[in-house]
Amino acid sequence: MQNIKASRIVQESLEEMCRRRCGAEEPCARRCPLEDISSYRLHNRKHPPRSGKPKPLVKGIVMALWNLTKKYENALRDQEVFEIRESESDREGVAEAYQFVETPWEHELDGRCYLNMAKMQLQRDAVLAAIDATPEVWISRFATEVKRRATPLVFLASREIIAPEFTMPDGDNPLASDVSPTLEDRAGLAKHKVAYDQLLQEELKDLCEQLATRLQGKQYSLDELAEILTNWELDLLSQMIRDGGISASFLGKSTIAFRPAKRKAAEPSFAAVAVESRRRQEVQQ
Amino acid sequence: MTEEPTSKDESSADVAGQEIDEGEERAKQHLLGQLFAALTARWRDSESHLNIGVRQHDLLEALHTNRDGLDQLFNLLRQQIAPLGLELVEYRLGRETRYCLRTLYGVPSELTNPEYAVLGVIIAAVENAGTRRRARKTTMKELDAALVTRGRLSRYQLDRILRRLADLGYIVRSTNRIAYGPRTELEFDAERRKAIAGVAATYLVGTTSAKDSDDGES
Repeated sequence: MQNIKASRIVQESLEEMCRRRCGAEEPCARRCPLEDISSYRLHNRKHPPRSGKPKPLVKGIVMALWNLTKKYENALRDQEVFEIRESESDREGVAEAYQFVETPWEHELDGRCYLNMAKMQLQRDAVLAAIDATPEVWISRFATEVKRRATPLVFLASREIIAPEFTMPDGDNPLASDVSPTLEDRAGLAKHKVAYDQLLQEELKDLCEQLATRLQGKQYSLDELAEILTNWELDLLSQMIRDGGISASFLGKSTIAFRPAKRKAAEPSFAAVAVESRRRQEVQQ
Repeated sequence: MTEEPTSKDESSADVAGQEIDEGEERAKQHLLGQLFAALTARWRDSESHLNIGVRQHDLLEALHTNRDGLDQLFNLLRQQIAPLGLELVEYRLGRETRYCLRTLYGVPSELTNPEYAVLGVIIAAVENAGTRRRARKTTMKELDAALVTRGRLSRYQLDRILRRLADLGYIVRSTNRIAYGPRTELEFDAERRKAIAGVAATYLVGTTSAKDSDDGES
């Protein structure tokens, strides 16, 4: 009930104000800008805002200015262009607003609105002027604008040399000491080190003879050979069979018989068999 | 009788003095020539970034001189290169002071028209981004909207041009952002960059990219 009363009072006072300002006995049939702005002020007087800006009761001149200002600002930011008809109707809508705005903020808003409208006009002209430019022409024209503002640097000795990376001497390199192995690392490495002894021809011959004496006159299956001999002994054996150092022949599919080789066979006949030893032996220093 | 040898001595001393002066002058000219060549050189560091001109630290070390000596030498150089339409530029990159030469008048540039156009768009975007939160940088998205979606350049062309601009030291590219390289700021001072941004506003204005592409397809 109180709200209805208050709104009636507001309406009556508005009618009075409008009559006084316009000089008419009846309130304006056309939407009077005064009505909007006065109601806005009256409302703010009756219901002062708790904080910040006042809340308008109706869409008044200030709101119209504000909406148009934001509309044009957003359009300019997004590079949109309105039609001339639309811009003209917007301009007519707020053409008389300057007579009613009072506070500096409202004057500033009015100015912003007109500035944005002027910018929109410039944008529209630019779009109309640039509508026929093909991409090539556009690039050429714009490049000329940029080029004539350049003050180029001078490069006479323009061979581009890639400078070598700066390296410090080993002694001064702080990183070298950080990443170098410690004594513990060295001890650990020595434990796992695998070294290969250098064999003389005589020693190799001895090894061959020892291997031949172990195997001559005996028969082994391939599995037994893999058990008995180490990896390097098997390598040596295959070389001896190839070179005729020991004669071997298959008995069945997986048994191999070694016979003493009295003389070298003219044309060694053997089959290649890959036997992988299960005993892995590495020579350690 | 006694005067003759003195006059001879004086004349010989003068000759010797002139020879010394000539020698010094020749050495100075030689030094200026070398300095000129060094200032107009460019080189790449281990990260393949283009370096323009000479570092002050290197010059002081090479010439065995101090700042005052270097300033005197630069004054001499300025007098000699001014009639050629050149000027000496001092600029700072990181913590280093560097020197290079710049023309006052137009010279054939290394860039082609599309490269200048793309550089202009970058300058306009960066200058307009000055008041925004991420200042002094622009994004690939903005360049795409201005050039690729409006059909002015293909994506491949834009990529190639950007690579070349970065190669020549005009721009610095990070993942998705583009900032000025040292060369852009040397060749286009702040006033000219603002002027380019102003001109670009009229060139880059227009309908949205979607509308353009629709028109083109139809």
